[in-house]
Amino acid sequence: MTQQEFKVLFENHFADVRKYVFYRSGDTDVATDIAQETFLKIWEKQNSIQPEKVKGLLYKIAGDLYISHYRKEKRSFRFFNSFVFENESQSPEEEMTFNQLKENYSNSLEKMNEKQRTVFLLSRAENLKYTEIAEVLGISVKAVEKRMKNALNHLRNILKQ
Amino acid sequence: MNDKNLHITSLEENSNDFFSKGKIAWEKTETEVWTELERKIREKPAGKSVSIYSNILKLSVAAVFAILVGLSGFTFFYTKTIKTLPGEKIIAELPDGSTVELNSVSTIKYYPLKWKFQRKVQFEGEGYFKVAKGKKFEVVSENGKTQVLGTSFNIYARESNYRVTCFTGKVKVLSNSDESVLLEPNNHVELENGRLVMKTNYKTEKAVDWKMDRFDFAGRSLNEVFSEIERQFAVKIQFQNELKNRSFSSNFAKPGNVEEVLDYVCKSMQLKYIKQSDNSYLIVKNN
Repeated sequence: MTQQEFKVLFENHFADVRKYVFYRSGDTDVATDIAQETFLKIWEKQNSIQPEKVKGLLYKIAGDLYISHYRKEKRSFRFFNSFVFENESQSPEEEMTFNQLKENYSNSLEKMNEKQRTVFLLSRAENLKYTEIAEVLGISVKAVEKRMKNALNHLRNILKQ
Repeated sequence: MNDKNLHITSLEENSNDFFSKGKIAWEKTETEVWTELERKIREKPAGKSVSIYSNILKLSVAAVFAILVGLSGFTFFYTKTIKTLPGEKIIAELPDGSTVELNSVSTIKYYPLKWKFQRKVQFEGEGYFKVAKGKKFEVVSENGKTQVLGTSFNIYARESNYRVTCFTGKVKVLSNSDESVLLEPNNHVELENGRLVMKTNYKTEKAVDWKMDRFDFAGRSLNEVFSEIERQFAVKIQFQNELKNRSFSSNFAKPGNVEEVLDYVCKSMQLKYIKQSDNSYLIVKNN
């Protein structure tokens, strides 16, 4: 892989990999660092990589790096500190509704289990299909469906209290 | 309350809508991450072993594809960066003949291939701009942005500070909160607590004392003073946090060595400096 090719790979996948780690960690700094390290790892062992598998590998490496990082440093889920209202072409009323909902989501997602939460965010915030989520996480579509169902139940239950 | 219930039921159902209205506030842009990564891979070259079975056809298809994508990306992403080191000053020339005199530790970045369509530079540090007449010229920094048609002006964009001084022509300065002011010759604007504060009849030569190797601190924090000394003499200066915001005013010619400056600043502020090693100093209170 030349540096030019590596740059193309970066431009095609970096944003998605970084968002994926953000959905899991809820921390933009952690997401940026881990996504960057992931690409560095790919660069270091590039010759043993088959091009058609590179995408799956990126997510695998990022996931593994996140887990080893998380074991060292358990933090609360602060996703909504870095998730802000998109100002362009929206009204102040929309912003108020947004912030109200944001608080509700913040409270309920913080208490959700990590696996369900990641699936929920990849589906609702990233708009991935269940098959795509399964591919990213390396699990079956059935498992994705189950986690999603649990996530929605959690949202429903926590709000009844 | 009904209104509240409405929001509650929508939590699991209308989440797509909610998430589409927000965005993630990254600390670093993708370009910044790439710049770091590029530096890292230069230090860590990839393994050299090549598989004998590598399929030449596959490789050439990939290469052609990469070249095509690369070329179109090239015009958009190809940037030229000019940086000054501590103690260094240079005059940089831009493609249209505009010049920027850069003070120490300043960076200017632009897209040479897009220049004809867009005169835009990214800038951090301190610099004196002389812009050739032409279409809109834009200088973008972290804390603000300056737009001009053809003129000369000085920008100071370091840490949370943003200051612009206009010498000739007209300059429009925009803060990140979209506040804007129009500067005419002898006007000066500074970002104070997030707001742009303008001064008319400003002694503009004060803003470019640095070009004449002079220091001009008019009620600047010690933090800023010591940072400037660090940049001019390529040294490290440590000081107690409580000194950081004390203010210092003086105007003097840049002496030949760093200890002379430290001596001068410390004396008037009841401080003293301790030399720790060749290029490192510690500032403490005099008691």
